[in-house]
Amino acid sequence: MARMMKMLENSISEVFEKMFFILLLPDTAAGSAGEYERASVIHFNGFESGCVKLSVSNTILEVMVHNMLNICEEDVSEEEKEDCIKEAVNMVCGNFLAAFDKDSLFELSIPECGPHDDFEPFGYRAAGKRFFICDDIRARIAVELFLRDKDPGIQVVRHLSR
Amino acid sequence: MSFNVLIVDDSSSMRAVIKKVVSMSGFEMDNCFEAESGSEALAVMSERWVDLVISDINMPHMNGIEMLCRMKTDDLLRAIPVVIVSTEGNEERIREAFDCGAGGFLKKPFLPEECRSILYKVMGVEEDGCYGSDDEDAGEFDF
Repeated sequence: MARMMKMLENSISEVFEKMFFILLLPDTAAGSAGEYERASVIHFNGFESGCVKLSVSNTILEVMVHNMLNICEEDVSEEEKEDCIKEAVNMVCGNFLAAFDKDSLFELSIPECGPHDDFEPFGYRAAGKRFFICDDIRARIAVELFLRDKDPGIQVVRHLSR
Repeated sequence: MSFNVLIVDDSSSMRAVIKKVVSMSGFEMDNCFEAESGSEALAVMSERWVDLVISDINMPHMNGIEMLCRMKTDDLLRAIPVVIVSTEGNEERIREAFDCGAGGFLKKPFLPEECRSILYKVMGVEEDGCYGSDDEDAGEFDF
């Protein structure tokens, strides 16, 4: 499990540096629950199945959109924020799975986005959670990995209040 | 020499990023069309002249691989070069894209210079803008 979490750490660092020009530093502190306002989840299915959840604050999301699209932070729309966090989790998960096992085929879902508290993966076990801090913005990012129990009787239900 | 480029991705942000990176790379674009899915891309190609398609794989309605397969069965579309831009790192999936006729593969996240290099290779253009020799392999993968 430690190896998987290390790969997830590497993946998020690479994606944020290359796509959003944000340098992330690992952080041991979780920060307050209120720091995470938005989350995006992507599910993967293969010989291991599960999901990756990325949680961010609105502040860092605005910087991500600004850096990615080169537009003023004040002009960032809700749609652009949603799109950006979904694309981020898609890249983080894709890169993580490629590092984890490039020979195995994984099906990726279309990412979903919503308020941080609305995502409660059900039928999964929490495999690990990592926190990062972006020094320039003084904002935290959390990434979580959930794996599906290999019991075929377990139904995987995603709860997303709409 | 400038080209009509069609960017296919369900994320409008990613389409904007690809467009920006292609422009920054020095690759000359005449018109840049956009589509949110494979089916929308086929509709654009039926109405517009497209020289190059840059497409994601994982999209709702019709994914990039299905779109490629449809293009290869169409006499008018089969010659259009397609570069796949995806987070997919699985070799089997990449091979499937090449088997279906993709000319190049670019893994997200990517740097502008990686994008430029693949686009020029796929279009058979030297980086100084001249047409080059028949280059064998585009993309990073060699099977």
